[in-house]
Amino acid sequence: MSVLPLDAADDVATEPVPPAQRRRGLPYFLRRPGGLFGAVWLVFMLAASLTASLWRPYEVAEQDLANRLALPSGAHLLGTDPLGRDLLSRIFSAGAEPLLAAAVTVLVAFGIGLPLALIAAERGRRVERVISRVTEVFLALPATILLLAVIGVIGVRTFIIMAILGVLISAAVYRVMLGVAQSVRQRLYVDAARVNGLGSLRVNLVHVLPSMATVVAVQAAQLYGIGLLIVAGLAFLGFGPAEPAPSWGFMIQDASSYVFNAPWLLVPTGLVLALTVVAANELADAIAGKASIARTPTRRKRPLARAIAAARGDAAPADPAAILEVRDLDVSVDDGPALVTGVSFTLRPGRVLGLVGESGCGKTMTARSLMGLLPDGVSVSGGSILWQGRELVALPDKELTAIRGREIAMISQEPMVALDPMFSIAYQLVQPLRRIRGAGKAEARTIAAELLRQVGIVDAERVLKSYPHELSGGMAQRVAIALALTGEPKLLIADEPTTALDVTVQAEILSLLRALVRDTGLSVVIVSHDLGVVADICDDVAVMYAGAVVEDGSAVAVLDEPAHPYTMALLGANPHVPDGEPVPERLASIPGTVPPPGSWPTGCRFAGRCQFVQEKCTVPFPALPAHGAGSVLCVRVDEIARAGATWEADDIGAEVAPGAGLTAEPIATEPAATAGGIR
Amino acid sequence: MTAPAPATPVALGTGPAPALEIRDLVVRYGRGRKARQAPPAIDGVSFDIMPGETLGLVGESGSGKSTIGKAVLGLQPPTAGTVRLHGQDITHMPLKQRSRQVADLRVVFQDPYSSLNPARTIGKTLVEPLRLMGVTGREALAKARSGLESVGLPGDAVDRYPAQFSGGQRQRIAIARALVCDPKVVVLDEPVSALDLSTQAQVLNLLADLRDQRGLAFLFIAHDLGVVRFLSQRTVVLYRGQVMETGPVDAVALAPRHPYTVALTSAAPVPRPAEQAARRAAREALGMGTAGTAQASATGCPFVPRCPLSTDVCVEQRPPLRRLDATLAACHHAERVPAR
Ligand SMILES: Nc1ncnc2c1ncn2[C@@H]1O[C@H](COP(=O)(O)OP(=O)(O)O)[C@@H](O)[C@H]1O
Ligand code: SF4
Ligand code: SF4
Ligand SMILES: [Mg+2]
Repeated sequence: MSVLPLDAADDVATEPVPPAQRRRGLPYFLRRPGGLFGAVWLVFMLAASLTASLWRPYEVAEQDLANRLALPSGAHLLGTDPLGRDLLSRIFSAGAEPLLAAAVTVLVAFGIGLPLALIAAERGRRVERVISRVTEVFLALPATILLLAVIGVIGVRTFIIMAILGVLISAAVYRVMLGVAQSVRQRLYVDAARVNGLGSLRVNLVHVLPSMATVVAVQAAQLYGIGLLIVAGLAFLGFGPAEPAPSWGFMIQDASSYVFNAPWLLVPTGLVLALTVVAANELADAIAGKASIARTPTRRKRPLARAIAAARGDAAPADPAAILEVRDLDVSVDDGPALVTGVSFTLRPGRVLGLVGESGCGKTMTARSLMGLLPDGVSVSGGSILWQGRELVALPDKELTAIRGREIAMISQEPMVALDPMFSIAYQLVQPLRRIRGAGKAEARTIAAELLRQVGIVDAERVLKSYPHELSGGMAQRVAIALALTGEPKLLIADEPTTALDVTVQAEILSLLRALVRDTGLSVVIVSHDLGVVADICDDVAVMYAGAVVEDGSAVAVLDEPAHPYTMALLGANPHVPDGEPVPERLASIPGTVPPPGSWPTGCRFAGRCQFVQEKCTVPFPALPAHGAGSVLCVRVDEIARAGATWEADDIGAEVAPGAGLTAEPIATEPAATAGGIR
Repeated sequence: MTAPAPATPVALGTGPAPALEIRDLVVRYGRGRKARQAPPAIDGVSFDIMPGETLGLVGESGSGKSTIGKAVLGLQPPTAGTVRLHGQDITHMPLKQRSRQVADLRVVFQDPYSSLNPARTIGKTLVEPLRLMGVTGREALAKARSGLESVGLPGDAVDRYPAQFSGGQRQRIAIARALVCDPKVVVLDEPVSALDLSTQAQVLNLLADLRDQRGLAFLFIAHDLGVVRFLSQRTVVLYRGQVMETGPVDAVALAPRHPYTVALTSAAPVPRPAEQAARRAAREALGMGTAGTAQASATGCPFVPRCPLSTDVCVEQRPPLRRLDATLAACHHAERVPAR
């Protein structure tokens, strides 16, 4: 049944609106202009139409023969029709039928389709197959012909006809709702409720349906708009209320024959119908959250840093062997708080640098700034990034683009992000090879197969022919690495490249990266929260906390002799003990959470969570040299080292003490917003 | 149904009865002819958990860990085998009946975001299982509050919604939901895998505290042997739905006798560069095959395609679990596995 736009359900969020948002004031969809208009207009139309007999200035058949085809006037606010009947009275008197009949279609369609979908989703494949077969039959029926046949038998009875239409459409509703219901049923809270013994009806009513409410509302509103058009369409064809009773469809039909000598006649009825349909669709869009919010245009500005760096121009790196030298790098939200401050490090060819820390410490922002790939509204606000003697901070986007993918490439935690599901692996590798290396088609294909072998894929030919979804996570990450290698980069930025993988696969990917470094002289900046990964692959490490590097040096020095309390705490929280060491009774943990950007304390940013905090930690102090060429940002580092102090593990029973989860992580007063891309 | 012969030696008659007893569990997904020809997701798994004991279930993703958890909970009906809770056969007991008769089996899931209904307050979420057990409204709310307090959250969190809590706090709430009914056995399906390192440490400590205080038995599912070692006494190593090795967790972690366990333990990186380099060298010397490549033969050992020690007998015969030094391992050549 092609009249239905019901296949669009995929892009509608099935999450129920977080009630924290829903509580305050208007429902969220009424806060969008389209949604507000839609709701207000529909309510107005319903109220005005249902009460039309009470307020209409004229009876529907009352003729004012002196004023035929009149334009709007004081007597006839919307003008009159060819028989001199008042349009205002007729439009609103005609409104009740389409408005209610379309609702009947919606109610019937959802009344049948939704419960069937819930049952099919619950009862599993066999029941689902039976119901789906039946609905397929319904979908195959020629709806228009069927409706005309029904009219032939029972006559023009709009409500019954629209109810039958609802039955036919219920098959399409079932289709869409089945997918939604199945995905909601996979949520773990549904399983948890079933384990608790909640009956099937209550599981559906309490846990499944509310999560589907958004989709249901969107689809219902859309279907309502279609229902309106169908009622009007039937009346247009003559299958509506008989004259002199008014109907929108017939009034439009009537007006269309006067379109040249009395064009106004078409306007009021047409506009009311159009506005009502648009209102239903706007409401649907607003509920779906798709309404066009005026997006603030994003300017890529790097005001301060660009000025500074431009003034300084390209410079010789302090370490002549360095391929990358980052000095005092600041990254900030434009007109907002700093996300990263004063980060410095150098990287030599063929070396691997690790950035570690909890999420929210600025690791990803630091890594992305090297690529010039910061999210919209975030930019480098100070410092310099010297890449082979070239200042990247001042570089125009165009030149950066030339460096990206060629000299510097990136892989991420989710390899699928790098791969387009629509195209074969061969296509995705051959395109950049032709573009960047200027290879011919056949040559590019040969190189692509070579690249896959280089990343440890044995059956390269088979993988070339496959599509991303056919690959396992580990295989996809290998392909993503091959893709990053198409431009023969000198630097690879790897953001948590193994976090989503099994340990066995992680070990393989790390071995692969190590082999690439050894064989091609590639340099790598790897972001990880796992100190084991750092120990495995990194030469150097920078521990980041709240946007700053708190300790850096060679991986051996930092991990074997951590000087900063935060590094000690991270090591203590790691449950992987080396062979020969006993498993601790309790792990070390770090109370509280990383303070968000904008609320960092002065002095040591770790002060609020540190076991060694003292008064003097709360005033600013400089980093001290440590680990040979490295540094440590702690004012008590010497005292702690002299005392041989270590970060203490938690006491037994500490976590069940009253308020343990509170001190551990303060309850958010605002809903935990996931800052878009800012981690 | 006649009692199936236990696949692992179990003490009969003497000693305390196991809290949870799983025998020859087989789970197949789907019903069609195709599904019947594919190897089952779980293929003859047996183990016990004693009261107060934590058993760690480890394996790569897709090895069937969650499926065992679901079969125990009654969320996925087993194709064959039995699940006993305190000696009572609950294999095919409907979920509704379970919650009334055997209220002492509960669950905590991995994902703290999808395991709490975002549209319901914490109070409603916690009260739900209690009300179903017949507890009165007022009493249930009081229990919900004290349940939250016992996981380190304030009692007045009952009025809040999940969106107002961080990942770690949500996992505490999910634990509280499992514990308000005072269960004896809790299935923990990767409860810390989605958490940051420091939060993971807090939740692991919390679970250890609760285990010690209340004498809970945990079926602790994880993909990380290091995490399992912290919380468990014994462990079961799973591969393609079959038990590869089982025994005291320290023995399995430090002196594995099965090549797959060796692969798992040697792959987990430790945060000490020198020791990690040695581990990596040992791992590379093993010559382990790439994960997830070829399909194994249906008759033999499932690990054949990746195993550096495999021979013809491995392809032809499925190795039974047999006793080695301190563990039980299902490998024909366990004696040839190099000691670590
Ligand atoms: N609902 C399902 N339908 C079909 N196959 C499934 C389903 N759930 C899991 N499987 C399959 O069963 C096997 C075991 O999966 P699972 O128990 O989730 O493993 P784990 O928890 O160890 O990652 C995998 O091959 C997986 O693809
Ligand atoms: S400066 Fe003070 S608060 Fe900061 S890490 Fe050092 S001891 Fe802790
Ligand atoms: S039985 Fe053979 S293939 Fe299986 S793990 Fe042992 S040696 Fe390897
Ligand atoms: Mg799982």
